[in-house]
Amino acid sequence: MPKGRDHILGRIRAALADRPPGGLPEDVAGAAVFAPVADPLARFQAECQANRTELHLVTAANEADCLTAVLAREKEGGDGTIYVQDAPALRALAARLPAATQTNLQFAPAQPAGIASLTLCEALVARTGSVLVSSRCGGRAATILPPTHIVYAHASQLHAEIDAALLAARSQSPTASLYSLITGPSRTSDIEKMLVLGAHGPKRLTVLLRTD
Amino acid sequence: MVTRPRIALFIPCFVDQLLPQVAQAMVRVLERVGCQVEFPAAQTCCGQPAFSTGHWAEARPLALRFAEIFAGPEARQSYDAVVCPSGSCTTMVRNFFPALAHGDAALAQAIAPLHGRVFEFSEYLVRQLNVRDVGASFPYRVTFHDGCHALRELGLYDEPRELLRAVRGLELVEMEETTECCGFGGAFSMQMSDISAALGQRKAANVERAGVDFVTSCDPSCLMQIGGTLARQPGRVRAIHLAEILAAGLDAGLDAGPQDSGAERSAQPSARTTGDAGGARAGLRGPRDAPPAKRAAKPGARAEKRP
Amino acid sequence: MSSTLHSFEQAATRAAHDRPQQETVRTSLGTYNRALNAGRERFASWSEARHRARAVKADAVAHLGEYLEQFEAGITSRGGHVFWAETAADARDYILDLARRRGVRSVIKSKSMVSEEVHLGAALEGAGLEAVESDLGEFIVQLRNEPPYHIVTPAMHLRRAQIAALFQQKLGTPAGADSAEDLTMAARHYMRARFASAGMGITGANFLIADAGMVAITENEGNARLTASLPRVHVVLTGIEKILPRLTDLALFWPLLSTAGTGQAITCYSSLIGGPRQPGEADGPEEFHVVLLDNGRTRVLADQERRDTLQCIRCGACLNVCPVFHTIGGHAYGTTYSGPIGAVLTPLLRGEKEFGHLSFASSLCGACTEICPVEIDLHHHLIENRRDSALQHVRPLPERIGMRAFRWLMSDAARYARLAQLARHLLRFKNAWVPEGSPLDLLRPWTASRDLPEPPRESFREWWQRTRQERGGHA
Repeated sequence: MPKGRDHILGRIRAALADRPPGGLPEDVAGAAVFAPVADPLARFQAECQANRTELHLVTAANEADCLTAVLAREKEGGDGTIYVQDAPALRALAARLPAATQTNLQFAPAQPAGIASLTLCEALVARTGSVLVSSRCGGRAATILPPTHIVYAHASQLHAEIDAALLAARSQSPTASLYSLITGPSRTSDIEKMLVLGAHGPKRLTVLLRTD
Repeated sequence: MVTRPRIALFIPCFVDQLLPQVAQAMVRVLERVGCQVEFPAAQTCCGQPAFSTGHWAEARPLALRFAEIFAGPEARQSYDAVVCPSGSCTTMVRNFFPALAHGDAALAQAIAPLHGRVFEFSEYLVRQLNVRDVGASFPYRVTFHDGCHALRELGLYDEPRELLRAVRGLELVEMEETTECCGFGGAFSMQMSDISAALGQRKAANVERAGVDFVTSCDPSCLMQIGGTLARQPGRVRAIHLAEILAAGLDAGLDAGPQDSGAERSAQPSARTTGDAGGARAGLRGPRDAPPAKRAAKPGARAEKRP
Repeated sequence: MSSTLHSFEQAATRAAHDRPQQETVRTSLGTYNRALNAGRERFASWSEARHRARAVKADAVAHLGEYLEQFEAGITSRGGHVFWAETAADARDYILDLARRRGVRSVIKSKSMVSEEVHLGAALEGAGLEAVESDLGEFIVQLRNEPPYHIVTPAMHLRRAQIAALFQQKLGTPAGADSAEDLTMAARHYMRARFASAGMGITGANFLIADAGMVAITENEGNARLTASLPRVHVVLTGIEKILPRLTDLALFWPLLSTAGTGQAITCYSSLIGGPRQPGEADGPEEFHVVLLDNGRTRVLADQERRDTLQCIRCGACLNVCPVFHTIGGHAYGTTYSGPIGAVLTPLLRGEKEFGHLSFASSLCGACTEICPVEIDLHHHLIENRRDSALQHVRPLPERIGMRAFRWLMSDAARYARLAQLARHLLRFKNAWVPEGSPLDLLRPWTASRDLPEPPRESFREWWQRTRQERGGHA
């Protein structure tokens, strides 16, 4: 198999013998290309509204009630379980849900997916109203398989721009095998270009954003 | 700006042979705005048909010939600029001659003096002479089709429109998809004629929907395609070159009376604008006066008709 | 005439007359156009974005070898495998061999044009593997046993009613369940089990990030995420030219790709994958393989004029704005890559002799070049391809003779003027005596659908000579 590698690299070298000029521009997504985001939180809110991410600004006092209300709306059956990423902040939050709520710290994709997953995230992006998760946020499947994905985040995780968020994620979770920038619930327009929310990924994306 | 600029007319071969009234109109307008025009009779063709189809070996000698005629030492002394009533032919000379000259030192040297001296007609008026109002009068509803070369290779969009807006009585209407290709494409129109015809029909439909009397453009080849297609459809829209519009009503002089009111506009555009005494009367085909009938096989029938 | 050319001409002619199909395509593209225009407004300067993107991609191409090695090092450092496939057969063989060794019985795929290019689907089937396309549009055309119609929107040529009938027939969906939502949910339901049961997931890649050593995959549905999460083995099949030098380049390229591709600010899932499941991770594939495909790309790389074609990010915008694509659609091309990029690239990858005609199926309008987010000079490359066809003597003999005659004619003004005058007379004669559109009409390709101008009695130069001589001017 290394034969192919040598051949291809050899052909590349030969093909570029004329030394075409290169040179990488800096700041490729800077102000000349994208007008700077003046107010990240306001922008994040506006973008979430546009891309149908359900955003709730919460504090320590009301977060549990908010989550309870969000979960009460979930109709899609499965086994009624909420998968909770095994992280201290989430265990604490889940502990304050009504006693009847079934939670599970072990995500088993082969089982019915339950009604929702509750995970942390690596960062948030204001420009696009996006949530950046990694495989350290409860695994790969937890943030894509359940019908509803609930993200518990803090406003300090909010970055104006995509590149800052990516660098933050890589710095926080350098060994993660997957990062995913999520912008709204899954969707498709493959049928007559008609937008349908909820394709293979979650049909609903909810963010609980602590502002305190 | 030179007083009485001396213009060498670059008249595309098919305009010379099939649409001479376009060139005649351009001459009238250029002279009206104070240019001295000459027609170097040695010119033939810029070579675009060979270039566009990849036959560069046949195009190179024609490019060389063109350069000698329009940019040789004598030409440079005699003319200030070369002006052409076709966006696509202007593009050939300005944008594509350098491609032909790649690796051909003699050709590269020959075409170098053409740089900065060759202009499309509307471009020359607006950008070089800073003229928008030539004194024309054309009281009709008109839509403008952006030929692909003029638009994308020469960067012309505002210039023809500024000229049209200054024409007395003219109502400029933008149709849908003005910048979509009419489907001519040179040899494409013959080699891929089904696709070409489908695109022509789409363009013609857009023209019709605009509810205009005339469709105009800077490109006579586009107008042959669009006008030729319109001629096969019911409806009265006719294709006319920008130069012909700008030459309209010029005889009346710049001090002509008040602008035509709407009432003077006839319901049927019967006025032809090729008023030139000695010129040909052929034009870009407009619709027939009778509804389009099946083509008669009867010999001689066509000889009776005059557009 | 080669059979490829013959098939193309037949398909293109048929499609050119298929007005209902053109309407379906145009309606779909109308939505795209509105979204694209809104999307471009979100940039402070769309032209600056294109300009910078071109520079980044040009650098990626100029240093392709180094960037690929850097990328490979990142993948292998996390336990992933990188296989360098010189040909389509090498890529297929590697994947089939891997599937066999791992006891894989079913494969789930997310969108990959490269998998079409190497005809992977047929190979998997031939090896007795069940292979399902998970992307909704790809799934639809797979059920219809036809290739994708468009590189981004594979089923754009179909109306909802056709898809509903298809699902009813193949999936047993109830007759009344025919809304876009119903059909999407039917596909979701069908695919769920297959994500979980497949032994191997195969995805494409939108970008290969050199400095981070990661594969970037862009999608809306979530099927690629699932394909890369649930099966034991994840294979990425990609062309070598997908390199982006830096992770931070994605801040430009993600919005650029989604804007040009669908008019969105960014797609729903923009993911980065750097290896198999890592120690401490809850789940993920045990194995991760990246198959880097050459298959002629190094030949394009060596071509100084058309090297920039490798900057393509496969957004599909050039297809969307192409009047020829509007008219004949994606299937008529008969190749994996259709539209302008296909017309430029296919003859370069597969040869002018067999595919050169694609470069002639264009009016050279330049809308493709105008829209391309990485500033590839597409329509000029079509002329360069045509030049190569002529140099390789692939063009039909009548055309070659005709061009020689044209050059001869135009080399002398007096000769041209005389013969053109004769031609005008002949044309008037033909108009009078030869029924238009009849077999005797040599100009039938034109006159079948369009009028020609009536030839004038006097050409411009004749008029000039006559009138200016009278005035005493010189000709």
